[in-house]
Amino acid sequence: MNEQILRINDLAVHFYMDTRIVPAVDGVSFSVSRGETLGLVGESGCGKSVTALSIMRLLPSPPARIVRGEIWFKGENLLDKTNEEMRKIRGNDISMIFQEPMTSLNPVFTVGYQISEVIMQHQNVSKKEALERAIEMLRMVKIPLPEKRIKQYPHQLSGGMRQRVMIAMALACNPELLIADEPTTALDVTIEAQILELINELKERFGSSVIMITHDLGVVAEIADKVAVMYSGRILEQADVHSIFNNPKHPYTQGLLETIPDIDLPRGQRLKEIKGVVPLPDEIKVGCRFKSRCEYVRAECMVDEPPLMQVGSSLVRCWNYA
Amino acid sequence: MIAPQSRNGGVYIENEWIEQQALEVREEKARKPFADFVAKLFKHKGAVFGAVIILLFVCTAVFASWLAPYEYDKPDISAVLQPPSAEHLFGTDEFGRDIFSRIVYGARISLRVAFVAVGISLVIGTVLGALAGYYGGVVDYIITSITDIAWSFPTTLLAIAFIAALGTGVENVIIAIALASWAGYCRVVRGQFLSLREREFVQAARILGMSDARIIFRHMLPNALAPVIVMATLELPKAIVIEASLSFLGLGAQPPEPSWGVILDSGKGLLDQAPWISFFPGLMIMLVVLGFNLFGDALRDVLDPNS
Repeated sequence: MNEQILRINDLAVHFYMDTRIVPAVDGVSFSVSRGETLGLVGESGCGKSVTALSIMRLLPSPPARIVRGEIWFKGENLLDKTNEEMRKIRGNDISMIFQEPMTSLNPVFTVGYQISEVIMQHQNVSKKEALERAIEMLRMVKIPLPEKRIKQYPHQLSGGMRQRVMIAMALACNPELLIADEPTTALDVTIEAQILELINELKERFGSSVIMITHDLGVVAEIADKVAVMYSGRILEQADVHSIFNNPKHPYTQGLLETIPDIDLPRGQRLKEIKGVVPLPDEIKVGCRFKSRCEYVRAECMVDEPPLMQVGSSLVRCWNYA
Repeated sequence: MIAPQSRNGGVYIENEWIEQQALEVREEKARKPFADFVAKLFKHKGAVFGAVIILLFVCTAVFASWLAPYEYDKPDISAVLQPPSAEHLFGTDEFGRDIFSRIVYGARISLRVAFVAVGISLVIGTVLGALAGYYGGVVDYIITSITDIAWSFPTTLLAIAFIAALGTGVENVIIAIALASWAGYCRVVRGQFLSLREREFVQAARILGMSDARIIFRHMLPNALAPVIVMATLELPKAIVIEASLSFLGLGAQPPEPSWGVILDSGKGLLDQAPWISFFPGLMIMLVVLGFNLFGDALRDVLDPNS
């Protein structure tokens, strides 16, 4: 059970822009065990999606380039793979769903064709078998009347339906790792709950591991086993989900949790916020990346960046725990 | 209709019922997208008129051997330079050949040149444009440069240049027109691909492990075709005119082949004595071009409501 399916070591991705180099991901390490769900949390632009695309080896390059690090998947370094080898892994061993269910399906093909195409790409099955598998997948993602649905085009489905179809496509080949990049951001709250429940359920069923990328701590609480909080291309805190919510260590994590609106908050009182904005990754030259927004900033934060330190069961990157 | 009472009264079930209804409504609407398209198209008066002309033109070409009362290349010394009559609908030329029969057979040449030339240039332009738009970078730079050079020459002039290199004849006219007119498709398809490349479903196809060739030709191309089809419809009459022009100049079909350009050319010295020789092929060229243009414009309105 505790077998590590994915292990990222010191991953660094730089974007080579015209005038500057932006280190979008800078020394990120984490691992995901079989059947485990990792929540990757952070504000926009902190490097979550870039990390995900690095695993898929689908970064737009140029301008992006993986300058350092290793991505071990089932004992093999994905960064050593050829494009053709990667293509066989994508969709089959590692799959991904993302934010925009409305536009993630090809408008000119039926739902059934699109799911069966993925199956036929990776497995040696006949068209008929693939279509049967597609129906089965649709049933599994709880779409009513799957036999009818497979003949429909994406524009005939609602947003929640489309995201279910996307999940069906992503899971069609029973991948061992599913990366979900903000899969519920574009959906209603009720649909969001259903989709999260569905991902959880299918994860149990297939024994897949999940990396859930989100900026919504509510989603994390719902689904994750452990959490990595990213900020400006770095992991600031990494711990199991209970520690993150009950005993957050890093000032940034604490800040994030405080920003969750409380229903008991007296009327008229302002919602809490973390002041300032995420600095661009190339703006920080020295010291801690969070120093400009931190409430507990100290002298050493200005000079040196703290290492990731073991504090209790958590890993924290903060001088306050040194 | 009343929503069925769900066992646990959950929102989920109710939602599904609503979606079920929506599904049936949508199904109703989307049952016949093609019939819908045709209905829309035929609301255009121009489209109907154009379609009738095109249909007549195509039928004429296909059934030429039944329609033509005489052989197109058989001289008849007893009926030289006859004006239009019941016997010779469009009159005869200086060898006594029936102009109507020649025009009927000439439709075959025009049709063949137009469709084959447009077909070839469409394939060349679409493939190059797709590769340029999908891969970008150096590939795009090279293809765009070649396209810009080809685009900077007037099509007819470029076709004449190719004829000069290839020699005269209908086959060479086809090749020349194809090589002279692919640049337009390339530019359109490249633009389509540039925007399609950023679409999520293309990203999704990549994430699910589709090969580049599959993504380009199976997933993106069908989404880029509408403007290409419109463009091809409007290129057909251009190809017909260029073929006629080249033949008129003696660079295309050679006498006695009954290309409309050749017939037009043969009548130009006799305009004062026998104006019908040049008049009828000219009229035919005009009508066919008009038909294709009307149809193409209507097609654009229907397929591409934005432009």
